[in-house]
Amino acid sequence: MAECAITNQIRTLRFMAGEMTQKELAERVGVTRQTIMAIEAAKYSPSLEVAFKIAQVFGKPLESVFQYQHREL
Amino acid sequence: MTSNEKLKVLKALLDSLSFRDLTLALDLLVTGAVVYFYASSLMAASAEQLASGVWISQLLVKVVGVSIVLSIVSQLLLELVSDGEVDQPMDEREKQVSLVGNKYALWTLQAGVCFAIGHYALEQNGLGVAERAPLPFFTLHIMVGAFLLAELVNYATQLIRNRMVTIYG
Repeated sequence: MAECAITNQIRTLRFMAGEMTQKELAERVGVTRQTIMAIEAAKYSPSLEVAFKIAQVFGKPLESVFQYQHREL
Repeated sequence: MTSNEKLKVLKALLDSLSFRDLTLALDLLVTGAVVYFYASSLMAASAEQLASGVWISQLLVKVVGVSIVLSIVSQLLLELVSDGEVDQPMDEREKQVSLVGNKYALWTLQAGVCFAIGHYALEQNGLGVAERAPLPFFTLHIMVGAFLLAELVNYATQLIRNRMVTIYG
């Protein structure tokens, strides 16, 4: 059985971007704070559009923000 | 826990509520109030009233009226406290949470309708269980109850899933 997981560096990137809050990031991306919280905790995989918007906010390429990991259980 | 600490906990809870959470909580309260109105009217009614089709129809019209008035009041309240958030569409995660809520509501409604159909079939055939129904027009009450319960399940599920980090877990 395989488990797919998308991890991310949002927390680190927020810290590096002058300790940007989840609320601020949510407003810039156009989603709610709860959604950012869920994405950051890797409990919710965002759509490509939201993923690109998040990467754009930090000025990073998508693969620097999100990583795909394929794990065999 | 001192009263100051309790106030801080309450403030933290209110701060953590999104506008969607607030909307769902109000919808849940409104539906709860409608359920209370319907159930208390049935419990306060005399046996003659319960057996009267006219009285039951009037009660249903009143329930719809109460529901409309409470919905308008809750929307006005939301409009007052919102900062333009009322007009904002749901984001992608909220739409998924809404679908999960609708799924459980549909299951509840289907279960209620199946139960009502079964009860009606038994009643029409003069079979045992239906003859001991606790109320006249019991099939109708099952369907109204299932509809109201489905609404409660929908709002409660969405509220819980919205507050949880995971949608499906």
